Amino acid sequence: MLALGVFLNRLIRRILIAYFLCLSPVILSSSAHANEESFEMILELPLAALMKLEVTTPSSTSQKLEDAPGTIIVITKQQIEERGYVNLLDLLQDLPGIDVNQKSVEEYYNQVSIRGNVGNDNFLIMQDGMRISSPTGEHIPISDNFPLYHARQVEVAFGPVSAIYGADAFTGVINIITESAKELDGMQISSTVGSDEYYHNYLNFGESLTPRIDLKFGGHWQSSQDPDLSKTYTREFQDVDALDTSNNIFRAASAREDFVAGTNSYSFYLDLDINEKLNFGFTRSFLSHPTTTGVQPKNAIFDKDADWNTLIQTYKTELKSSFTDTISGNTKLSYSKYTTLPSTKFTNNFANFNAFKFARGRRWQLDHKVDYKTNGKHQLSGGVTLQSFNSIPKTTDLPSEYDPDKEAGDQGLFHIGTSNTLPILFFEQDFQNYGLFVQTQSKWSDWLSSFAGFRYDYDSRFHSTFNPRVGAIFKYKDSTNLKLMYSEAFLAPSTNLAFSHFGTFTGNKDGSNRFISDFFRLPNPDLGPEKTRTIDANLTHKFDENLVLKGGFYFTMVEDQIDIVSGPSNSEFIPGGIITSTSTAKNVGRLDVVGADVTVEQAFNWKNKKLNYWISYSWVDGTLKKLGGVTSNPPVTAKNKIKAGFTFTYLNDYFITPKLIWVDETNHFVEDRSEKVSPYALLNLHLGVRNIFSNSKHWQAMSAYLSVTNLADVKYFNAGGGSNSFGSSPQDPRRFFLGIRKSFN
Amino acid sequence: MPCHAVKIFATTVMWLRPSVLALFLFVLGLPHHSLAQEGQPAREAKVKVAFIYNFAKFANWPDRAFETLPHNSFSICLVGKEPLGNLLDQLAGSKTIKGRTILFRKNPPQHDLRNCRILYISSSESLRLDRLLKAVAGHPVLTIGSAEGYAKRGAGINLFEKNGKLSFEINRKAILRSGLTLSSELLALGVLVEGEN
Repeated sequence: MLALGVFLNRLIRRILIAYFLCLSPVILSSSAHANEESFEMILELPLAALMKLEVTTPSSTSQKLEDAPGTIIVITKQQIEERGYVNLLDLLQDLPGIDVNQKSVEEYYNQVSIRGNVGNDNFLIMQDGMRISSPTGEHIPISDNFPLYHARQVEVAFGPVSAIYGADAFTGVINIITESAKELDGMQISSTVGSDEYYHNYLNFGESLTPRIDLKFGGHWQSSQDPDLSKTYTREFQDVDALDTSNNIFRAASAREDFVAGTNSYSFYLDLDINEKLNFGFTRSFLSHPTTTGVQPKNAIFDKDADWNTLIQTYKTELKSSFTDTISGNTKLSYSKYTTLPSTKFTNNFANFNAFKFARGRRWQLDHKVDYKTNGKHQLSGGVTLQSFNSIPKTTDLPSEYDPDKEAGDQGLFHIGTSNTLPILFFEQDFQNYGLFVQTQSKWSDWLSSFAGFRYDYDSRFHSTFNPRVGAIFKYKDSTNLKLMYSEAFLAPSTNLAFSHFGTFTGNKDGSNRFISDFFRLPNPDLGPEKTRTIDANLTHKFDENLVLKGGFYFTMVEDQIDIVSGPSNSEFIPGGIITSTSTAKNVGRLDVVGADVTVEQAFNWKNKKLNYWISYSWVDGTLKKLGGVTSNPPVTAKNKIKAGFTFTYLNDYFITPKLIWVDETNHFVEDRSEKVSPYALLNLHLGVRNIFSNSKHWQAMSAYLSVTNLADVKYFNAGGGSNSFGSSPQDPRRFFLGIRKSFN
Repeated sequence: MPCHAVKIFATTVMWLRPSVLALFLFVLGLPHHSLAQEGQPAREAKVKVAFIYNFAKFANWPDRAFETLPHNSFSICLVGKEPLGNLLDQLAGSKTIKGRTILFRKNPPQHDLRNCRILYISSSESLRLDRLLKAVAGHPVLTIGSAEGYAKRGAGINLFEKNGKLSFEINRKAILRSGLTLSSELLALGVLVEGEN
């Protein structure tokens, strides 16, 4: 079976490469013969003729938000700048229906819960329509590795969208739309310094190289020592003995090391666009965060090298085709790679205080989509997807770094505590997925439109899934808009969840000469997908152009939710060893969630001044049923949340944005902890001046910003993520950030 | 739940060899008339620049307007974020206005705005509009905007979209205050508006 998988994978990869090689010359040759309405021709037209030229048409205009199928929030570049969003997590934190729990998990740093369903792997993160989160569905940290310096807008679609995007569009889809080269028309550089040795720099460049060819690229670099939480949270971080899993002292309290929690990140993107039809793109993002994040000091030692290092790269080429005036197509070929770098190191007691990890996921993908539009009222879209995956799931604890230049089977690594006798197993996987989708969207009258569609996927691991989506949009005049939707989605089990295994041996042997381990997480190759169904109602009412009320209600069911449950005792999973207790991932849970969000946005405009405020209230409740009838509230989710703020702008150039987040008590990830994370209120402030020196020839396009997070310097906690972690993980005290930006045009 | 037909389809796809699927994709993916049509935002930018070029042809500046400029030149300035810079650069490289070489400047310092003969103010500059207009008040500068209310607030000409096409409105008093005159053709095609003051 494995051999067949490898064969198929190689075959598909060859086909994809051949496809790309065959297609490229055709594309490039056709571009030379493009029959374009040239700029020179338009320049020669008289005024009266210019006034007859259509510049926007119903078929090409971006769909209005109120007409879009789904519950979507759009955050514009101006809002990103004025609210001080540096990365995607900053932005998500301010949105209704989203719980962000930071600095709480060793492996993925923070946890995002959308509408009561937690998991950084439950939603897609895309850049210009291309997935830039893990191609193989791993939990990934969401932080400075997803910067927003280049974003024209960020679109957040709530709810299941597998009917279009396939696997993992489970709780939503986030699309970062970057500024076009023409919009950039030059270069921006920025530098920010902040408390705790925080440095953040970026460069963004975009320009039309020729009237037909646009180039843009950019990158950021960031590093921070982050606050010394042991100074603020003395009770939680007091010097205690570090204990191994048998409660033996590994390091005595009197010899404990200093707290460290530094992070660093970088990203780079490049985009070459030919005539807005053919596009080549590349993204690369890296984040290093401490693997002691959220871990109680008794269970780990602090070490500046104890980092989880995540690297994701995506290459794509995209071709937009216009067959006729009403039929257009879009073909994308992409390659994406996720790596947990070999330098990833754990210093907790599960890892005997010194162990390494490695994981790698690769995906080749070909998408082809065709749109058919009739008279602006009906639209039919369909497409196919062909995906080929290769994955080395997260390894067990390694005594030394994985060598990526060697095959998995040639690593020559042995389990810690086995005197180099029990070889480590690697579960390299090859698998494929084929998808097909059809969507229709129809405007039946001025007050009624509808959408319907489905997507069928066949995955070589768990076979077929079918995900429909239907909905209706009712409009009353231009002021009121009601959307009713039903949608389904599935979350493919990542190889990480299915095959990851970890644990260590004590170094002792039993009477049968087997090495003893107290605990191991065991793989479960039969893990299946999670399935979700959602009913969603969404109302928008404009009292006038400047006052908008939005309300949403949803009911979501998740079946076959993956949970970590107890595995067999005295397992001989590792030949030559005996493992006394185990756990494993299984599809045993069911989550029912009901919730509602209400948002009011209002703008006041004066001649030189503007005030925009927003306030949202989110309520979510539900039940998670686990194995054995154990129930709990939706984990890592607060029942009530209020998020509010305003931006006051003067003369376009001066702005100030205070933001308030109030989060009710949050349920822990581990349901058997009786206490909950305490409620907290967090005040953040961002202010800035654009064009500081508007009269200077050289310095006029200079801007300056000041951000203060946790302005009131309150102690607060976020929900933790594991059995050796804090249930309530301490969060940053007040921090200051001062930045400047210069544009060159 | 998938119906029977879907199950049949699923079985078919399951047995469909990847190579056949890839061939199907390849045929579908052939570009046909691809790259033949440009995107609409690019077209809007081109049409806007063509409007600016036409306004320049049909407006008249007093002779003194060019005394402070480099010899035989005509300056067009762009303020704000609208992506017209590349096209105005192209215009400057390929055309003349009133027999003069076009100098294009993007976001010049505020004290230099008075030396622009055409000042295009992007829609992003709404809150700064008054300050920008004040910076060129009394100078022979044709101010052109592209946002609702710009002409009423004192810009000479304002481009606006109606039914997917661009049109323009003219604030005659603002034009006169700048010492400029407009041709009758321009006045006939534009919508005349009164300023707020």
